[in-house]
Amino acid sequence: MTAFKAVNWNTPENDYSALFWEQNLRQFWVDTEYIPSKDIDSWKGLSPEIQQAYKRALGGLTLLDTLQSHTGMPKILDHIDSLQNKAVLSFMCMMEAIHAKSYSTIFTTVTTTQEINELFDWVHANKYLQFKAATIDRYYRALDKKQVNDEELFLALGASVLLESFLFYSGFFMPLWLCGQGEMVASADIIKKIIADESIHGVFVGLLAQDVYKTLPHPQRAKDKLTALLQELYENELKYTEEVYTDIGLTAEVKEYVRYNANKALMNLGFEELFEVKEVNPIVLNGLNLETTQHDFFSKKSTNYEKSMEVAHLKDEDFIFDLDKDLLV
Amino acid sequence: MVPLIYYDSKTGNVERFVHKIKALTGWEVLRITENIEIKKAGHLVTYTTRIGEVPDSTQAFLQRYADYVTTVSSSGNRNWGKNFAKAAETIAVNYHLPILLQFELSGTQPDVQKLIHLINKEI
Ligand SMILES: Cc1cc2nc3c(=O)[nH]c(=O)nc-3n(C[C@H](O)[C@H](O)[C@H](O)COP(=O)(O)O)c2cc1C
Repeated sequence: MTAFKAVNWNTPENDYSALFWEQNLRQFWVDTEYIPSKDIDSWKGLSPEIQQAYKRALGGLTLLDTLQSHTGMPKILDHIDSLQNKAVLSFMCMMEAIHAKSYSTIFTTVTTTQEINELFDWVHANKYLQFKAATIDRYYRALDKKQVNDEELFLALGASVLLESFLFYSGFFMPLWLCGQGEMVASADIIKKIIADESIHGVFVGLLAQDVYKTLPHPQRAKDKLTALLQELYENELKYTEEVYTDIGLTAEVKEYVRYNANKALMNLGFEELFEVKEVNPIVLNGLNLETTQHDFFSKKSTNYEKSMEVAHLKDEDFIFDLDKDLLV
Repeated sequence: MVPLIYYDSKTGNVERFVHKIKALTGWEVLRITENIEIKKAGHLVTYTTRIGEVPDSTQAFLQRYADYVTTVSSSGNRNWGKNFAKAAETIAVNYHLPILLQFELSGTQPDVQKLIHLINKEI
């Protein structure tokens, strides 16, 4: 009988698990700490075409985060040996579930149940979104067994990096582009938290992929397969982009952003860039750079955990509420 | 004098970036380690970590050898918005150094060319 191992954080298993664990804690957030209701006026001022593209972009993102939290992370986690790395992946898995839910937090705030239901029907029927999910899922499902070979594991990790660092960006474009012009900025705070998380996930899973890659008997074959997968997904991204963005005239900009992020996904895997990229849309970069204060509560809390734990000595009296005062709130 | 680059790297991007430069120019590139001993002036290339911070290993290097550092560059990721490659800005302020380049991850070919060009201009 093999002994079950307990994770021992006293001894580092490698030189990066602890760094990523800490970074995940530092970035931790939940959707309910944000206030997308500040965007209601902004939403009402958007044209129906822009509203539609926004909903579809976020609907597509919801699908990818769902896949990542329900299948991607758990399947990968099962085949990674380091217990500390497993712990980091499980934290990331939980964050993916928070991401997937947070889009609904935005939808619920700005639109109606009927529109939301129609949107999810659209996601479930959209052939390009379904192709994206099915293609990535195939690589995850290859891990649905006790023993997998290193190439299967490398390709699943690689597919995960493509999802995290490349496939999300046709969707992220829309909220960043609006935010860069001062629209939907409170919701964009949520989106930017997701982007920071996905950036870390891409680096971490990319490192795991690079570790496996070094041990492959036929590395070139594996790299060729991954490059072919990227190409296949890229073709699909172009069609998806046309479907979502043609009505609002942004197709060319989004495609360039998609290529730029494909290059970054390859870098996370330790490879060279594939596409020549001239310029990243400056409005999108402005959206990323815009500092807002919508989530001050969160950023204070996240850095002050220890302090706030020290001062929180709750007593029974704390739970006796002044009813009159509560009713006023 | 042949240019010299001191670099710091945690997840391999800066390492790949400076080796692309080395392959094109033959310049010497030296990784920062805890016990590094240096005697020559060189350019520093590092990365940004923990939301806008300078890596500890780079800080320790600068505490000992700031006098040998002539310029600073940093890798980062534009997804961090205002904190993009901020390590270079912090180091530039603290040690009064010029920033040569802020680039993403392991740098594109144009980034590699740009840093080579800028270092050549410094000579
Ligand atoms: C834990 C962590 C935190 C990071 N924080 C930032 C940041 O605040 N700003 C930034 O521009 N990049 C940030 N990055 C991205 C790195 O700077 C970038 O990936 C860089 O290329 C890493 O260099 P290296 O691979 O040589 O270690 C972060 C990456 C990690 C893993």
